[in-house]
Amino acid sequence: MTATFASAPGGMPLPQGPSGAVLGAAGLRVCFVTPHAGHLLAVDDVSLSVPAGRMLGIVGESGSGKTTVARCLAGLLRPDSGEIVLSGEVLTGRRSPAQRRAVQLVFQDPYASLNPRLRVGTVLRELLAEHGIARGEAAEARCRQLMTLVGLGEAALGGYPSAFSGGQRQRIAIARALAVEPAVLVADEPVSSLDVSVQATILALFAELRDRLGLAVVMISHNLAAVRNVCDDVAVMYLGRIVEQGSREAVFGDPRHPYTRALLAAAPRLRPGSEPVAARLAGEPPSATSRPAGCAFHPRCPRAEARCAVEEPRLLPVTPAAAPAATGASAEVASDPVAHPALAAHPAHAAACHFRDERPREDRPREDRP
Amino acid sequence: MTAAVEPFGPEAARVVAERGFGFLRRARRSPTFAAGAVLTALVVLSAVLAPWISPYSPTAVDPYHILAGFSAAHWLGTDQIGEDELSRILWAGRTDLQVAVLAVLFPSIFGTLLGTLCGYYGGWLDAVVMRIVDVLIAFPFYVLVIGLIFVVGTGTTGIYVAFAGVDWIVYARFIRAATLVVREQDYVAAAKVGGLPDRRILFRHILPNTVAQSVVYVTNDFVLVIVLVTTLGYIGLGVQPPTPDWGSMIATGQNYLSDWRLATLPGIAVVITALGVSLLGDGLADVLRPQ
Amino acid sequence: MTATAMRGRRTPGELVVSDLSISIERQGHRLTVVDAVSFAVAAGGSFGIVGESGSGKSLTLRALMGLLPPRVRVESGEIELDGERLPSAGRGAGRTRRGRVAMIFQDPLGALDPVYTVGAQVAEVPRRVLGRSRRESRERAIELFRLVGLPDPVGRAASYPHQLSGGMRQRVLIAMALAAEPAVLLCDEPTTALDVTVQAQVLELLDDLRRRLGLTVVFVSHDLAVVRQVCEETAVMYTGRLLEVGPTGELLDGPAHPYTRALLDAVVDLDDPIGAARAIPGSLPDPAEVPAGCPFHPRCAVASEDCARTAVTLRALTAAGPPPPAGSAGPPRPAGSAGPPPPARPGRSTACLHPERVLPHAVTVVTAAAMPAGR
Repeated sequence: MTATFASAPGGMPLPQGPSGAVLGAAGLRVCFVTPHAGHLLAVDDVSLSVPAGRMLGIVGESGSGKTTVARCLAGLLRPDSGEIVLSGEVLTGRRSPAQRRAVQLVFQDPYASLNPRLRVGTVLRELLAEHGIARGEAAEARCRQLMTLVGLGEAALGGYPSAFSGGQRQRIAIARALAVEPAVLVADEPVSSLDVSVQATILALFAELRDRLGLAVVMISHNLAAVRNVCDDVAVMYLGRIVEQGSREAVFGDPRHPYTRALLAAAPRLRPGSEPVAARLAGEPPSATSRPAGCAFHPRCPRAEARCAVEEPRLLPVTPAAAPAATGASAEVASDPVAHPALAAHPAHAAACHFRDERPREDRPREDRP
Repeated sequence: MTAAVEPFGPEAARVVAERGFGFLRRARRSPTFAAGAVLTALVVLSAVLAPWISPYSPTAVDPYHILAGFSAAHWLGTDQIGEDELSRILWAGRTDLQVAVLAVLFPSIFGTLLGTLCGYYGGWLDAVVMRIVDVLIAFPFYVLVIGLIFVVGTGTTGIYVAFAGVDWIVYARFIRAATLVVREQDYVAAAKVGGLPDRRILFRHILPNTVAQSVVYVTNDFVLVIVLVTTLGYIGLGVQPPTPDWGSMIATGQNYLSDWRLATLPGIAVVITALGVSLLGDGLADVLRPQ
Repeated sequence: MTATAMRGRRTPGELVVSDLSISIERQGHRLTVVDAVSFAVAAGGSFGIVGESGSGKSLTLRALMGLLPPRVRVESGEIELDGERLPSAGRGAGRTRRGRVAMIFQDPLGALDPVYTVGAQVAEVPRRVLGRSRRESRERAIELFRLVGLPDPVGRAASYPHQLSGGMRQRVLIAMALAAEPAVLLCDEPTTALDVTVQAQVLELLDDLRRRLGLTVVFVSHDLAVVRQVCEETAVMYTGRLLEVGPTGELLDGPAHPYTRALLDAVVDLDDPIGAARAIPGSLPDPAEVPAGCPFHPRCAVASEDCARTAVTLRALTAAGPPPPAGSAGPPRPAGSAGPPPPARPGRSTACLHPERVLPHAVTVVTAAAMPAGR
């Protein structure tokens, strides 16, 4: 059961949906029409679910559509088709204040996400008053609580954003998101703009909030190490689609999509030689306005065959290599595609590749690349 | 691992404490602001206090001193009827400043609000308003103003109406542009996600970050109006006699150019006013920038 | 010797920086943001400078390039390329570096002019700097595009910056930098803004080019893992001071300074156990309030009282070998006492007074050595 904020009258412990998922998305599709580049399919048939008390990491490079997904979840962008489901209730284009409260967003750039002209306390009080959560003295107490929750002192309430460092600003942004007592926190690259030494603390803060408050958290990131550090489940996106998803252990331990493998191989390590041997990816992600036919990844895929240029692979469950110990739910996985997220409590390990069930053969060693 | 508390350091606390006085501190440090503020204050005070500090009534005639030069009795001399020049300049300033302030008030407020709505909502409102702006902007400013005055009538009413009808477009345009930028900022998106109604977002988050441009432009506009009022007075379409007005004083002085004072002194008064307000505007631009 | 005569003769590219100090002006005061930094890079070597934002690494690089922004000044120190002094400001700054030192930046879009094709921008360099003809320059540009791995070089040359992806733009920048046939290539976080898969390609390209063309590379980054991949030697910078210098692998595997250790512990890495990352307590000091003595001491887990009093200098690290045989254990012996001197570690130095607290058995030379030992 979700833990609520202490002493929050009318606080928002949202009932969990039938499967325990607080937030879900089904078949999201977002298409931008640009004057000079034509149709840009940013998000194509994306479905996911986030149960309370778990963190989902969405990983991808630029052009993958992950930020667009985040904005859809937070209600800033209306998808062209597909549904967003909050505790079993489908959200329409216009969200009610209660629905808005439930999903909050933390932005990437801590230097742009706070109004430079308002004090921290003012921003928080405004939100508390707007939703009738607390006023006057109660609001003051609540503000102090929020500051403590994110690890800042009370004195911070009187400051303007310019007085704070990047890491501190990000904490303030998190406090702002928490002020309305959301059930879901969507964080769009929350640590990318921060110094290395501070990143770990902010990530830990998210983990703590997930554990202490039972929040469902969606973390968008291009940083695999960060996602691995705090997320329970992972979805890998490429050119608007999810190409692999599953629990952290499944995706990082047993990646089944060549793109995931390439990402893991390409990420620089502190201790080189420890990364999995995989061919370096050639070329760059194609523009979303000119999707390759069939599997969007096939032009760069070391495993591609003729079939891949014609037949687009669907996101289907993989047969686990070993006994399904880590991902308990995957043992009951049905063999049909992962459909409505309300059905899936914990995402089964799935990949959108024709060869997802192959034992990953030894890809060519790095020295052997073209 | 638990999230370590990041100490809100002593330097930051000091900055927080000082912030309340930040405005004054920055104001002190800007020489343009200081100079502008002083000059403007001087002009405004002399206008406000004119009834008390002017040595004579502006219409009081001294038949023994016609076109008199500088003297102890009449510091700036007298004009062609014998009215004291200094008093006339002070009272004319009072009139002209009053007119200018009232004239800029409406267009700035109306234009800013309209620009904000256009920039934030877009849509048909934006389309219609911007087409109107496009049309009006095509006409030379003075032509429009004089045209309106001919329709409405001369005098202060004419000035207010004419200026209000024409000047708002400038504010609408640049505030709309500024709003378009601020609207895309993450903190506005955060306010939307936080469930704040549009009204609040507009007044709390958007306007405070765009209105500084208006404020600075108002000073600019003010100078424009002063010059406009003077010009209209000069060509006889502005403030009507017997109310003293810098413009008409200059026009009258034209006929007596042998004595440079009558045509020049009111002009100098205009220049000082314009300069002061201009500097103030420049200084404000620096001071109002968020830190 | 005029710049014209120098072109066509490729200098080896040994870079020596001595006691470089840079100050910025803030609200009427001058603040030291880089303090007496010294290092040397052998011709054809690659040197990394690692630090967080505000450490002064970017400004150091810009001083090397002679591109300091207004209000930022080199207060003292020298930069020498193959023995020739490079002024860091004024007209001599550009003249002495043309055709010898080039730089690539973090944001490729900002570094390219949007109204010219990338081919034209790259071709401009051989024309203006090397005095080649228009046709030669254009051919050179296409050749360079091929060198940096751009597919369809002729087609690319006719593209505008906004038509290219981030990775391609960065390759264009590299081509532009190489067009002047420099001896030294300065890199200011060139891969930070790139996707992971593209980053891997660009880093490989840089390494490859360095070996093939014999470039001397100075690479600034906040990412330790990236530096590991590209740089033979690395310096760790904090509030404008070098705290540790040494061969990259050794430095990252066994740091001799608590700050390096703390940085390594704070980084979230793919190979570490989950949740192992530990933040560095405290926060980066403002340049106006850098602590006396060792700037890191307030946040240091193993600091002592001396650390607040003694000024920071890099001291050469002598070997920290296996523990001395029983009976002779004890604190480092003063010079001249009995016992064989430990073998010196080439090129490693640290500014820490107690390196043995992070690197067991580490010993520094007691007399301060301003420069690290030879490579």
